[in-house]
Amino acid sequence: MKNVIIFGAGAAGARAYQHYKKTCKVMAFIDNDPGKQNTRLFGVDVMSVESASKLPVDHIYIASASFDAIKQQLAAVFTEPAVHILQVEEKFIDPKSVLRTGWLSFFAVIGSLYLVLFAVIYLQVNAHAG
Amino acid sequence: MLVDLLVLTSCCLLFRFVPAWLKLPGFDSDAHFYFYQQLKTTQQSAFRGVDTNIVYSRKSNIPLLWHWLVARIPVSVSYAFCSYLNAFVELLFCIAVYLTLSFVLPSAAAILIVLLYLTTPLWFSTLAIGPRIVGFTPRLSCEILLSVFFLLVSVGGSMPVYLILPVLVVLAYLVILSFKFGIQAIVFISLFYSVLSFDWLPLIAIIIAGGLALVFSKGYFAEAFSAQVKHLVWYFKMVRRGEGDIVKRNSMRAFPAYTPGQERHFLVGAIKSLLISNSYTIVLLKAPALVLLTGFYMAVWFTNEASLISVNAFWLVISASLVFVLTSTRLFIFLGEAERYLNCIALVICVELVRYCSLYEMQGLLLGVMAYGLLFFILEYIVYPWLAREPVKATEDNDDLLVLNWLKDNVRQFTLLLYPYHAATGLWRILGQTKHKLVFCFNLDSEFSKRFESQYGATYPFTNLQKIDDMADDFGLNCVVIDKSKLPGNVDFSPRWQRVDDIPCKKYLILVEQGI
Repeated sequence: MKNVIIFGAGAAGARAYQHYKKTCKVMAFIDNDPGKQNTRLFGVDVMSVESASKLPVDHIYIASASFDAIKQQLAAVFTEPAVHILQVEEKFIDPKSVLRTGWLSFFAVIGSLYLVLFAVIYLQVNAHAG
Repeated sequence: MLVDLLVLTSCCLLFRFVPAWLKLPGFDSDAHFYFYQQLKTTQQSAFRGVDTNIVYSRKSNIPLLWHWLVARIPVSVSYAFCSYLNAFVELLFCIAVYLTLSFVLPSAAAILIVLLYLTTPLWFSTLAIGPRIVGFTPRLSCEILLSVFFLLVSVGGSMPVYLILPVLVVLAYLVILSFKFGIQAIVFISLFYSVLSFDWLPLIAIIIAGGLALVFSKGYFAEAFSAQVKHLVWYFKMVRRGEGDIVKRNSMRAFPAYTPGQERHFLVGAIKSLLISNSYTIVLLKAPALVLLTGFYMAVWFTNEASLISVNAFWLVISASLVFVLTSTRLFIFLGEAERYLNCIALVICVELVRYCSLYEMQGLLLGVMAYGLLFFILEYIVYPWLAREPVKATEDNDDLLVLNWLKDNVRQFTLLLYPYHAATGLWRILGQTKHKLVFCFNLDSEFSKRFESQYGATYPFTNLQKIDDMADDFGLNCVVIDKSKLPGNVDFSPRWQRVDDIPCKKYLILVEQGI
């Protein structure tokens, strides 16, 4: 079981925690907000980047849309090559993106196809009725 | 006609027998096969329940008329053949439908109806929660009987009541005494239909059939019905608690998010989401015949050709669709896969679509729907396995068979726990092929059931492994087969349990009680 830290103690971090706790040991949350540091979320400590750097960790998951900036910040502190800094899945950061990327495209394509077929049926029935 | 029958048989071989050959019968299929075996061996009535080798079990009081009827066949169905039984039933059904329809319709229309039925993905796809055509389950027979029942209801107005009512009663009788789901489907669809169309014939038939079932089964039907209601209540509570896979049905969040570099993973997730988890997209993708029929209804309505609508068939389609929509909602999701209710009007849908296409000279549309079915078939059985990195033809897991054979060869009769219940080929297959007693959370006598639930129960399909010592004392558990990948990290086994190392099996941990 990998030791992981989740960056972000907000809603995205909480969603990511619910997912990763099944397969990994979540050692801590990291958050840049001093108001959240030294608190607990789901019984797990919320720390600053510096205090978390002492933990034995395999992966750090960034639960934030500002991936590049945070990765730079973390890379400066977590210098061990064995520590992988990764982004959580998009659905944890913005659940509505799932709707945008998946369902809407699906319904747009299928809906258009069926609309064309309905129009063909209507025209044929109308011609017959006429 | 001979050419038609040849085309029909070839189509049935492709769309029904090939999937049955490619896929393996699953846990449910093994359960029904076990019940069949028990009835075949004991030659007992269909109305006494069935004994099982589950520890502290009571008779399983499910509707058993179908199992009993299959057990009447002079030749025993072997386990190897049981996967093909439904494909065989489907072949007979299609031939019977074609021959019957040929009497009342032009044979070109009859063959089109049957081909449309065979090539509609909703009725051949195995990308579903409970496959319809693979395995030894009563599901297909139930849907076939209901299809005939509702087709007769749809043409009921053109036949005398004294002729049609007895047939409907016989069909309803077979359905309610054979299939748990069938009782729900026939009652719900008929209820909506009768209220909407003021045609009370199907409800009258169901009431008469229910009365006859009570009399002929000497009350067993009431017992089975009450068990079904209790099961639904249990299921309802489970769903309300948010437990079980079914609660994820129709969840918009089930669609996977796209991650660059993981295109294959995304596609497989999206396919599963669209074709297995979401009943609305299932209908859009797997039942084009129904969607296009809706298009015809609307077009006919808007062009003032409504007199061409076959009223009974129209209300049946509306009723089944209403039941489908209701059972797709979170509140009624416990009533089973919503799309199964549409399967019960399969013949009505096919007959209606072929009728409209013929009427408005749109046979090309029918051919397009059938070509889509063929394309879907190729994508599902050839492209999807490649995408998901699965073998095209499923094979049995070697470790599962090793454990099954070890259990078969063991001289001693174990009291065995499987963790989870479908481990090592599964509880029902082990019950059917070995002499061992098994621990299971269902079918228990009422007193033991409460004790089991409070002391040893865990989220289905697991049991509380921490309590195996207590289980050994309580009811003689002396062997445990554990899927190592599901083993919780916090379980310590006492020295009472000895590990079996004499079979080369990596997947399972087998423990037997010391001294056996």
